[in-house]
Amino acid sequence: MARVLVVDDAAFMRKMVSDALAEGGHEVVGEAGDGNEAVARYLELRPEVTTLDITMPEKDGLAALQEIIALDPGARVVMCSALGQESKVLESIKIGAKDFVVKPFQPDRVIGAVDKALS
Amino acid sequence: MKTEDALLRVATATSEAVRGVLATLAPEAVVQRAIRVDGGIEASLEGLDLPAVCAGIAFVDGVEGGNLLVMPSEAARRLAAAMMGMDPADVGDEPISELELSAAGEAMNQMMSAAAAATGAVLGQEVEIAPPDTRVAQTAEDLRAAFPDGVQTTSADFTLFGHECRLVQLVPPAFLVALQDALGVLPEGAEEIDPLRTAMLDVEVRVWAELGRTRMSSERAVALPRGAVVELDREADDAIDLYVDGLHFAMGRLVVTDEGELAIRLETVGAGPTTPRTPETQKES
Repeated sequence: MARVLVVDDAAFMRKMVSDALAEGGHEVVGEAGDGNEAVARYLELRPEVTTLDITMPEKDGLAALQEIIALDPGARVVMCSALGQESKVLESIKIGAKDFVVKPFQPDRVIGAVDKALS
Repeated sequence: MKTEDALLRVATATSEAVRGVLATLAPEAVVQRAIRVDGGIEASLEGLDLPAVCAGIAFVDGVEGGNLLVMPSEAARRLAAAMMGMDPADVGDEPISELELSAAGEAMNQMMSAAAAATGAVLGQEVEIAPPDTRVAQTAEDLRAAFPDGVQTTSADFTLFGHECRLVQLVPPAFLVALQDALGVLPEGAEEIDPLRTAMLDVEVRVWAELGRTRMSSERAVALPRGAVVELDREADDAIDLYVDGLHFAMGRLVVTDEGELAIRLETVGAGPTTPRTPETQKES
């Protein structure tokens, strides 16, 4: 079981990811709705894994990922992307993301990505 | 290919991308309807049921443009129910809730991302989008306020749970030019007016660039030693000329490509000197 921070600007997606992770035996310790909140919540909660949406207002997922990795090079982050964001996914892997899931996804895929990030 | 065909190509590609996402979120609930070139936003708004959820995205990198998706509230609620693992048929006629709107907005976000990717595939370049703007339009005025005016549009209609939905592609002039370039659209009426011109489009021509010229006596020319500097009639930062089979065709700037090769970035086409000549036959400067 891991302590997970879920970041997405859509409340529905936060709920969907949180429900899936709870079913997979993980504990969702917090949520954030944009990149700025994600960095703040990461520093506050120090989760073992963070799921991070790419397209968000204010500060997007890539910018938040860069800040989180700069603050904690060992951070385990799983990116959530939509179709057509392949170059951003590649960039996030270069920055230090451990894995990614492409929306729309099945709950098992999120659980698998979090498990992989922990391994 | 004509402009209308090119517009229909991109409208079809984006429509298929949206259907692909919907087929995952709500299998067997989607039926494709008409795809057409509307020519303007007013035509693209006709016949839509209200209230409706509308989501818009703007392309922020690659090319100017965007997509808009309009979905009646009941269809959005049924889609949200399907995404939450509930039975879409159980949805009543209550106003859309915040969580349902978030779910529908997320679905529309995914559809619009797929549509932008399909647009990029047609244009041959990646198209980056800004976060979508999702809102509920209660009236025709609300709906109109969500749409920019003064651009060409295409529409792709489809039904979702039996409700009419519409994907609108915004086609600003810069987008249209990029589309025409990518798909090799001929000037309007070119095929009908001049079949000879069309037939000659495959003929290979010689293209060369000219940095500058000078004149000197033949005595001096044959005596030029290695290392001599021959001044030309152009400044270093002047535009250079491009010729096509002896005809002056364009002017531009010499650039170096990423592969280290010389190239010309055209600045004006059809302007400048018109004297036909070839390197072999030129006799004057």
